[in-house]
Amino acid sequence: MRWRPVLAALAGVLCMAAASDPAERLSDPAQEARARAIFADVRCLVCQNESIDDSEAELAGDLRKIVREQVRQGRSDAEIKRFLTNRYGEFVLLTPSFSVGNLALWGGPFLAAGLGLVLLLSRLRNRPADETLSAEDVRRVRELSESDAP
Amino acid sequence: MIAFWATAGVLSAAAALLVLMRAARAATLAEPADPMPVLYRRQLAEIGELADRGLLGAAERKSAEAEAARRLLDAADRPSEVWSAASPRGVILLGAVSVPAALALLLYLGLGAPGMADQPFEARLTHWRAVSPTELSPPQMAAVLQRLTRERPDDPEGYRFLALAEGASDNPAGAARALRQAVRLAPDRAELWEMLGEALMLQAGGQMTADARAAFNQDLKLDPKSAAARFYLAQGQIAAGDRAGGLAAWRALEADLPPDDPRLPRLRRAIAEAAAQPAPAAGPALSADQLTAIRGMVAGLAARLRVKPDDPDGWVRLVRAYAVLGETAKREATLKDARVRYAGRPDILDQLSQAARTEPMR
Amino acid sequence: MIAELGAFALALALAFALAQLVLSAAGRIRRSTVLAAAGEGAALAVFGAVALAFAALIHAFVTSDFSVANVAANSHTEKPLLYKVAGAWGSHEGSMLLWCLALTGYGAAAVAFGRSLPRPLKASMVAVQGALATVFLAYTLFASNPLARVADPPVEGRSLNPLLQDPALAIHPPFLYAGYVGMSVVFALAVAALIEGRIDAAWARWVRPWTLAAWSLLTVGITLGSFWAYYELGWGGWWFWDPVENASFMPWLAATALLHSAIVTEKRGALAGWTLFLALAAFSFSMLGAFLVRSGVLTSVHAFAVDPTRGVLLLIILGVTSGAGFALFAWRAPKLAQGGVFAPVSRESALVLNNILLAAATTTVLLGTLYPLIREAVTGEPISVGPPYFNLTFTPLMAALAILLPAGPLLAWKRGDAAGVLQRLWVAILIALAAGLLAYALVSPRKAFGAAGLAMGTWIIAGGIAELIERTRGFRVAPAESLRRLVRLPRGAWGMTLAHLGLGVFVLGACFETGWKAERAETLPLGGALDVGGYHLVLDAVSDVDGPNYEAERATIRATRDGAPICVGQPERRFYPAGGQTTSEVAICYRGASHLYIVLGERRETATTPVWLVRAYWNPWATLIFLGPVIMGLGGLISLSDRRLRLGVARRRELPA
Repeated sequence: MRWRPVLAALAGVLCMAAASDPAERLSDPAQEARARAIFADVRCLVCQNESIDDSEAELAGDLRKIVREQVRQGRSDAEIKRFLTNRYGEFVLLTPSFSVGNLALWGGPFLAAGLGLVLLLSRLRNRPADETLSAEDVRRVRELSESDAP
Repeated sequence: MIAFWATAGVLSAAAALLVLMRAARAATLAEPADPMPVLYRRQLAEIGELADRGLLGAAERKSAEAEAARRLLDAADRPSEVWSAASPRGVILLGAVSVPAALALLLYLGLGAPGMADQPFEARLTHWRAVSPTELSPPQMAAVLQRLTRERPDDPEGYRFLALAEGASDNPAGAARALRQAVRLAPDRAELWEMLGEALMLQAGGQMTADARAAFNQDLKLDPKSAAARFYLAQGQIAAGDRAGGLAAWRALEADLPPDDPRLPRLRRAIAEAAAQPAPAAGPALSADQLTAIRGMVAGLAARLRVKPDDPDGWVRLVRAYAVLGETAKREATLKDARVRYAGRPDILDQLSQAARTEPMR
Repeated sequence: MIAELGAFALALALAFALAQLVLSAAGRIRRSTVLAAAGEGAALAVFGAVALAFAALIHAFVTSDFSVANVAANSHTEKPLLYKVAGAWGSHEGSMLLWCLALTGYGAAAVAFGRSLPRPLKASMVAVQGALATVFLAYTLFASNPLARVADPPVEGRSLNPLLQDPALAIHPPFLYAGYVGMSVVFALAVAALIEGRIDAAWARWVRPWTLAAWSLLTVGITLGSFWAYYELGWGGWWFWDPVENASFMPWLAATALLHSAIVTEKRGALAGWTLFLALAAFSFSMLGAFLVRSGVLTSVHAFAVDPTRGVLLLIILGVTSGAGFALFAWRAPKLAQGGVFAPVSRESALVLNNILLAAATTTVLLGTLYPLIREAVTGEPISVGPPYFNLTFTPLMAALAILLPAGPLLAWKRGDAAGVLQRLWVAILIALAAGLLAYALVSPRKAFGAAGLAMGTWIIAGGIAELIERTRGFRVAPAESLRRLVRLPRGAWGMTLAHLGLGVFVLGACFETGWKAERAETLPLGGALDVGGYHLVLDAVSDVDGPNYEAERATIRATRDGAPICVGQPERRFYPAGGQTTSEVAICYRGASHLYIVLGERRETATTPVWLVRAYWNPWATLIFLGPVIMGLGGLISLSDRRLRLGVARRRELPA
C-alpha cells in the first residue's frame, strides 16, 4: 500500500489562474508564444466550452503545465497535440480533425456554397426573354391602374 | 378574495368586449381596397427612379415595366373570394367569448392559488418586527437585525447580534460581513475579532485563511489570553505543516486553561489526534521516475485483481488510480468490469462511481 | 392579489389565444369578416393579458415577494432595483414569459398595422399566430409557470447570477427576444401565403418591414450580449463562437439573407420559393437559438439550467412548429415556384450571390454548433468544434461577401455593366489597397491578416461612400445640387448605406483588434508596474469596497504614456455572498476608439507582502467592433421608417376618402 500516500500527494491542490499567469510562464518568449498558440486550440475538458488559454479551472492549469513542459522539451506542435488526443480523445482539441467522420462538418459549408453557385449558374442567361404585353393587356393595365387613382 | 374575483371578472369581460367590439365594427367596415394597383404604381415610379439613376437600361426599363404590368394583370385575373360581412348567429359570438372565459377560469383554478395574498418583503418584515423575537426563526431574525443595523449603522452591538443570527441561519458569509462592520466600529473589542476569525474560517469551510489569521492575531493583540484565537492559530499552524509548533502552542494553551474549563476536553482530544497522526507526505510534483514507479504499482494492483478478483476495495482503488493518472479508457474498462461484478452491492457501486469521478492528475 | 391576478391573466391569455386560432380559422374558412375580426380582437386581448401577467411578475420582483417561487429563486432584497426588474427575465420561466409577451405583442401589432393585407391572407396569418401563441403560452403555463406560488416563502431569495447583474445584460434579453420573436410575424406570413397558395410582389413587400424591425433589434441585442461578454467575463474577447452566441447568430444570418432575397422577390417576382424558405428558416433558427439554450444539450456560459424534460418538451415544440411549416412548404411551394432567369452581371445575380454566401455561412454556424451533438450521438465519441473551425470556414465566406458587397448597390437591375461599376469604384479600390499596404508597412508587428482585414473594411466603407456620391451625382453636378439630392435621399436608401457602412466599421474594428491586440499579465505588489501597448501601468492602491450585495477589492491603477498621465482605472474583483460567486469588474480606459482593458485577478500572499495578479490588454479600435453593428441596426430602423414601406398608411395619403 506504499503507493497510496503518493497518490494522495498527487491529488494535492496546485494553485493556478489563467494562462498568462507569470508564475506558470516559460522563460523563453518564443517557446511561451508557441505554448500560448497551442493553448488556444486545447479545450478545458471540465469547463463550458473554454480553451485552456482562458480557463481558470484547475484542470486547465494542469494541461497548460503539460503543454509548457513538452514545449520546453522541444516537441513539435503536432507531437504535443497527438499526445493530448491519445490521452483525452479528440474532444480535447478545439479544431476538429480532417477525418472521414468529419467530412460533413468541413465540407458542408463549401458544399452549400457550391450547390448554390451551380443553381445560380443554371439560371443565368445572357439575354433573359423580355416580357411583352399585347395591346389588350396594355389597355387593361391602364384601366386597372387608374381605376382607383385620385 | 372578493376584490380578486371581481377584478378577474372585469379582466375577462374586458377581453370578451374587445373581441365583440372588433367583430361588431367589422360588420360595418368596407372591403379593404385591393393593394395591387397602388403597388403597381409605386413599382412603376421606382422603375423610373432606377432608370434615372442609371441602374436600369432603356430596354430593360421597358421590360421591367411590362413585368410589373403582368403582375398586376395576374393579380386582377385571380378569382377574388366573396366575403360575407353578415353577423353570424348571436349564440356563436356569445360562445366565442364565454367559452374562453370559462376555460381561463378552469385553467386558473387548476394551476393558480386563488385567494393567496401577495407577500411583499416589506410587509413581512414589518410583521416580524412586531412579533416577539422568540417566535422568529434565525433567518427572520437576521432579516430584522439587518434592517435595524441599517437604521442604526453606528452601533457595533447591532452587527454583533446580526452576526449571531446569520451564523444561526447557516450563513457564515453574512456573519463575516456583519462582523467586519462591527470591528470597523469597535476595533478594540477582542471578542468581535474572535467572532470574525471564526466566521471567516467557517466561510472557508473550516480552513485557516489569511484574513482569519489576521483577525485572530488582532484578537490576541487585544486579549493575549484569548483561548479561541490561540486554539485556531495553532490548528492553522498544524494544517500548514508545522505540527511540532502547533502542538507546542496547544500544550501551552492546555497548561494556561483553568482545570474546570469546559473547552479542555475538546482541546485534549485535538492534541491526542494530532499527535497520533503520521507525518503527511511531502507533496511536490512527481518526477518522471516517480510516475513510472506509480504506474508500476498500479499495474501490480491490476494484475493482483486478475488473480484474486474478490476484493471490492482493490477495485475501487484501481478505478481511482486510473482516474488520477488520466487513463480514461482503462478507467472505463475497469469500472465496467467492477460494476458487473458488484451489481448487487449499491454501496460498492457508489464508491466506484465516486472513484471514477476523481479529478485527473495535476 | 396582484401575483394571482397575473396568474389569472396568463390563463386568460392562453384561453383567448385558442379563441384567436379558432375564430380566425373559422373566419377564413367561412369567409366571414365578422368572425375573422373577432379573431383579431382576441389577438389584441391576448397581448393585453400577457402584458398584465408580465407586469404582475415585475411587481413581484420589485417588492421581493418570495411567495412567488421564481422570485425566491432569482432575486434578493439587497439587489439594486434595475436588477430586480431585470430578474423578471433573468430566469428560464421569466424569459419564457418575455418571449410570450413579444410573440403576442407582434401578433397584436400585425393586426393593428396589417390593415392593407388581403382578407384571406390576414385571417390565415392571425390564425397561425394564434396557434404559435397557444403553444408557447401552454408551455409557459403548464411547464414553466413564472407566477407559481410557494406556501411557505423563504426569508431571503437566492439572488440572480452576479454575472448577469450588469446594465448591458439587463437590457440584452428584451432586445434579443424582440428580434427573435419578430421573425414569428414573417413565419406566420409565410405559412399563410403557403395556405393561400399565393405569393407575389405584394407579399414580399409586407414581409420586409417585419423582417427589418426584427433584424435591427436582433442586431442590437447580439451586440449588447457581445459587449457584455467583452467587459464582464474579463477575457478581453468579444466573440467566442460559443454555442449560445451561435444560436443567436443563425437567425441573424438567415434574416440578413431574407432582407436581400425579399428585394428580388418584390422587384422581379423571382426567388419566391427561396424567400419563403428563408422566412420559415429565420423563425425556426430563432426558436432553435432560444431553446437550445434551455434544452440542456449544449454546454455554455450563457445557458439556462433547466431540467431535461422541460428542455426536451421545448425541442418537441420546435420540431412540431417548424416541422409543420417546412412540411407545408414541401407540399405547396413547388406549385408557387416562379422560375426567374438572371443575367450574369446584374443586381439580381449579386443579391443571389449574397444569399448563397450567407446561406453557406449559416450552414457553417449550424454545423459547428450541432455537429458535435450529432457525432457524439452517432459514434459515441465526442469532438469539439471551436473557434479555429469557424476561422477556417466562416471567415473566407464572409471575406468573399465583403469583397462583393460594394459592387452590389451600383449594379443595374436585369443587365448590369461590370466595367461601369469598376469605373465608379476605382477610387475606393485604390483607397482600400493603400490602407492595407500602409497598415502592412507601418503598423508593427507586421500582420498580413490584419492588413488584409483593414483593406477590406476600408473597401466596404469607401464603396458605400462611392455609392452615396453616385446617388447624389457628386462631382458631376454643382455641390449644392448634390447636397440637395443627399438630403432628399429616401430613408430606405440611407438605411441600406448605413447598414453597409456599419458592416465596414465592424470589419475594421474586428480585424484591427484581432490583429494587433496586446496582452500582459504580472503579479504586482503595491507600487508594482507593467507595460502593455506602449502604456505604463502602476498599481497604486487596493482597497476594500462594500457594495449593495457584494464585497470587493478595488485596485487603483494609474496608466501613463511617456510619463504623461492618461487615466486611472479601478478594476474590481467582487464576491457575492448570496450565491458565493466571484466576478471581475473590468476597468476600461477609452483612448479614442481603442481600449486599455485592465482586470484585477486574485490576491496572493507572499512571504513579505501581498501581490495581485493584474492582466492588461491593449485592444486597438475595439469600440468599432460594437459601434459597427449599432450603425447597422440604426440603418435598419431608418429604413423601416421609410414611408414607402408602409403600404396601408401611404395609401391613405394617396387616396383621400
